[in-house]
This record gives sequence, C-alpha cells and structure tokens, in this order.
Amino acid sequence: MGGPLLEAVGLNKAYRTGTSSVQAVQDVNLTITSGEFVAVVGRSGSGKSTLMSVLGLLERPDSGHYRFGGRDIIAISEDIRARLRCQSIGFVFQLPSLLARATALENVEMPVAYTGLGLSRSERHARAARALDRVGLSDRKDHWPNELSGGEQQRVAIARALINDPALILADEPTGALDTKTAEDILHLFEELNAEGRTIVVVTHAPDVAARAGRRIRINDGQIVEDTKVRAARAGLHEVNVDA
Amino acid sequence: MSFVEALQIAFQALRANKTRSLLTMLGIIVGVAAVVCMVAVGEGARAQVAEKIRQLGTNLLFVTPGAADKGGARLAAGTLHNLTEDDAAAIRRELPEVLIAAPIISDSAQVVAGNRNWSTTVVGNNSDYLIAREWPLIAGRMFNSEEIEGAAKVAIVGQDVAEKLFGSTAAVGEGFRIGNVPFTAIGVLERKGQAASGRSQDDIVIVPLGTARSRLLGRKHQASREALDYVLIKAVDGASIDNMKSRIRTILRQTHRLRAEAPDDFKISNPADVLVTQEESASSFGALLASIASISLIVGGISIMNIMLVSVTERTREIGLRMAVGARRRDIRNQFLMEAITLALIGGLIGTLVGGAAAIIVAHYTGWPTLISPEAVLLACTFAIVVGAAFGFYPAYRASRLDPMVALRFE
Repeated sequence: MGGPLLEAVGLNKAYRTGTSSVQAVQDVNLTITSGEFVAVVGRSGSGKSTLMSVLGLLERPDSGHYRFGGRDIIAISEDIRARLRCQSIGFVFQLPSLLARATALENVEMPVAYTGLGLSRSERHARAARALDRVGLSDRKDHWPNELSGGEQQRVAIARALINDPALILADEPTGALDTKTAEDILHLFEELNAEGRTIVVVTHAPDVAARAGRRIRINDGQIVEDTKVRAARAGLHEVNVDA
Repeated sequence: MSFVEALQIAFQALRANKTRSLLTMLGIIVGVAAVVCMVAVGEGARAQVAEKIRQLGTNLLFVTPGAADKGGARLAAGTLHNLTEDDAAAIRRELPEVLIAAPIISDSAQVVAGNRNWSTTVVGNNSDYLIAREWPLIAGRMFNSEEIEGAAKVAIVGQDVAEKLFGSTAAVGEGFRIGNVPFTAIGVLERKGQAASGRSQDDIVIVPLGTARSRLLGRKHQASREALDYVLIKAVDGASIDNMKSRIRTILRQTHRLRAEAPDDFKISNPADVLVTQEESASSFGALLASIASISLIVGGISIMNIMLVSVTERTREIGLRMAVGARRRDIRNQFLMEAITLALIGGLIGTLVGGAAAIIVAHYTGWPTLISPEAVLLACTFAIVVGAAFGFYPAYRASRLDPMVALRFE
C-alpha cells in the first residue's frame, strides 16, 4: 500500500459549446493511491475523458483542489505541468497514436526530448531500446508504424509511455481499436506493469477491461456514481518526481 | 528541447513531404538566386571599373581638338588643328592644381625589326605622359633632355611591341625602324593590360615629341606645325575634376580668342566618365534583380506561411500528442519555427548555387566580370533565415496555442 498519488477535491470542469455549457466534470472527489489499477468506466459523453485530461494535467479544472504526488498543481504554471506530464505520467491513447514518419524506436524516444535532461543520442537510444524490450518488441525497433500490427503499435505506445519511468500510466481506450485476443495481451501487459508497482488508470467503456482492474469508478453526467474496490493496491514502488 | 533535436525533427518533417517542400522553397530559391546574382554582377562591375581607373591613372582629363566645320558639314573630332603646345603650357601655368599638362601627338605606324614587322600606335611625348599615366618602366630609362631637345631617334616600347619585334621584353638597346626611320629602344614599359575599349594598352611606342613631329608624324600636321592630337592633364590629388574642367575651358576659350557666342573648338573629357557609365548600366541591371529578389522573397515567404499552416492542421494530432508527453508550448512553437527556417535556409542554399550559376552565365554573355563574394552568400542566407522566421512565426504560434485535448481528438 503506497501513499496517495492523486487527491482531487470538488473538481469541476465545464465546456462551452455555442450558447450552452456542458458540465463535463461535476464535484468530483477522488483519491488514487500509489500502486492501484483503476478503471474509469461510463458511456461516451459521460465526462470520463475530460476527467482523465484533468487528472493527467492536460487541462486545468474550473474549480476544486487537485494534488498530484502531494503537490498542489492548480497554482503551478503551464510549463511546470508540461514537465510533470513528461516525467511522471505516461499516456496511452486509442490508436493510431504513433508518428507515421518515425520508426518504432524514434516514436518511443520522442518524449525524452522534452525532459530537459539533455540526454545524448546514444543514451536516448538505449533508453528507448530498453522500453521496447520491456514490451517485448526489441526486434521491431526499426520498423515503421504501418509495418506493425495494431497490438504491436499499442505496445510501442506503451513503451513510449514508459520511457521516462513515470509513476502513473493514464490510458484512454487503449484496447478500443484492437481485436479481443490482442486486447487481452495489452491488458496483461498493464497488469504486469501494475505488478511492478506502477499506478494504472484506464478509461474505457469495455466491461471486460474494467473487470481486470482492482478498482472500478463509474462516471455518469460528470459525477462519480460508483466506486468499487475489488482488491487492494499493490505496493507502489514509484515515487512522483515533483522537483520539475 | 535542444536545438539539434528540433533540427532533426524539422528535417524528418521536410523529408516526409519532399515535393511539397521543394515547391515551397521555389520562391526563396528565385529570390536568393536574384540576390546572389545581383551582388555578384554589381561587385564585379565595381571591381572592374576601379581596376580600369587604376590602370588609366587617376585624376586625368583629356583635351582634344574640336571638329572642323566645312560649309556646314561637321567632320570628326580632331579634324581641327587648333590645339597647341602653347595651350598645354598655358593650362599648366594658369592652374595650380594641374600637375602635368602633357602635349601629345599620336598616329599609327608600321614598326620593323629585321624580318618582323608590326602596326602599332606611336605617341610623341616628352615622357610626362608616362608620369601622368603612372606608368613605370621595367627596363631601360626615360628620355634625357638632350634627346628631347635634339629630337633624337630613341623610343620607349610597350611590352606587346617588344614581344612582336624582338620576341622578348629584353628590348633595351635594340634597333628597329618606325616607317623608314631607324630608332633605338631605350626603355620597356611595364605591362598595363587591356583598356576599357578592349584594346591592349601595351601595343605602343613612345618617342620624344620633337622627334615625332619632325621625323615621323609631321605630314599629318602640315596645317600647323604646332598642332597636337591631345593634351593629357593630371591634377594634383584631391583636386575637383569638374571644377578644373570648367577652368581649363575658360583658359582655352581665351587663348583661342573665341567670342562669347561661339561654340568650343575643343573638347574636354574625363576617361573615368565612360567607365562610370558602364558601371551604371551594370547597376541598373542590379536594380532590376533587386526588385525581382524582394518580390520573390515575399512570395516565397507567403508560400512558406501557407504550407506551414497546412502542415500545422495536418499534424494537429501530433501536436496534441507531443503536448501530452510533455512538450511545452514554446517547444511546439520552436519546432515549427525551426521547420520554416530550415525550409527557407535550404531554399537559400539552393538559391545561392542557382544565383552563382546565373552570375557566371550573365558574365559569359555580357562580358561583365562577376564576383561571388562570401559576404553575398552570407547576405542571401541571412535573408532566407529572416524570411523563414518572419513568415513561419504565425503558423508556429498557432500550433503552440492549440488545446492539447482538442488536438488529440482532431480527426
């Protein structure tokens, strides 16, 4: 059992579409502990993606308090949020999410450029190669995305999410475009990563994905309507680096 | 993100759309080519004029006799024989800024040495011509006063004549004939090269004025034993040539006793004027190129802006993705700015090559020398970078202002 990784209190986020305003996130209170595997489920348009973008520091909430890794991120600048995303959060999106004109290795090492660490070319390559190895694709390094299967592409995306060794993996419909067998492999990979101590938050509308998680949060009209803990969080090994 | 990383990403993006990148560069290529060509032609013309003026000697004026007017028919300049040694002496005497006023007669003549002969220009002058032209000897000596007084049959030869007659420039002491009159070469001139007219200046024989008058070219000057073909005037350094021109005119009108309404019976010309005109024609060509260059650079800039806007729209998802994984807004802006600048700079480099080639072609067909200086290349590339940055900024700024969530969902 780790400490709290995310602590949200009274989060609100509204969208203005034309004249009407949609309350996409409404008074959400949520704490996610280090090492948890959380599935956020809900119908499309329920606001789960917006919640993910707020939790993933992509958007600032309209009101409420939000602490990430113990740090209040409401007040911090956009640049520091970008750096935090870079170092502490690995994003996995629905396919296609790779750059078509970059090889698997180049796709994986892309986030390293934004760490501000100024790693050399060989260090970046080595890191990317390790990440690809972790997802079982060390033999696909120099392949282009269009030469890879859907499952392989999603593994490359996961390797990309892992490259800066983040505490949190945020996945938005990671199995959305995949067949059942491949989706199963990807979910297995998430379970392994969770077993290593990484916190996983998966946003999905697929019930079988949600069934694999240790905790299920159901969203409807921007509100949390269900929060079920199936099993306790694994020991969170990854600390959030907040000195960005 | 480091500069090198941004550059790598830029190259990757440009490589992905080779044809489009090349078409986008066209405006810049034409613009920069025009700049390079313009500067090359302009610099070349300037260098040539400066060199010609230097060869000719500086601060020079020519005074030539006017054209004869026989019953209404105007003959060529120089058909009057009214310019005399007294005129030259008067100019020298009256005007303190005149350093030398060299009286000169000249005509073409056949020179013969052994079985070789050659047609050349014979100039009669007491060696102040050479001083005015700043034309030193490489061998031998100038005329001495006895030779000048006694109309001695001695000559100073140009290098072309020396080579034609003696096969080498070692001509001092050699005998030869001008027409039927035997002469001895006492000096050889340094090589001067081509004049502005294209004629070799080294094709010349100089003899004392008195010798030329009494033994060689007298026939032509039967009308007046005093007559000169021209007077070469050299001013002291820093004298105003235009001012001196008008004062010489006043003196000559007095000595020639011209009435107020009578036209000049002589002509004063500045040889540098001809060269300056030549430079002007090159520089008006340059002005044409400059306007092509500026229009092309603007059009090139607009096409870069256009393509970058298209590129930003096409790559909206990529921008969202990069932002999600940690790119700051300025990283995105710099990435697209770098892409626009790289595009413009590659265009600039291609344009430099095209412009250099064009300058060589222009040089070939017009005979203008061209000079491709490193400064011109630097200037052209600076232009390209400025255009790329100026027109690339707006698309790059737009890219950096995208909302990451909206960008990620963009289809």
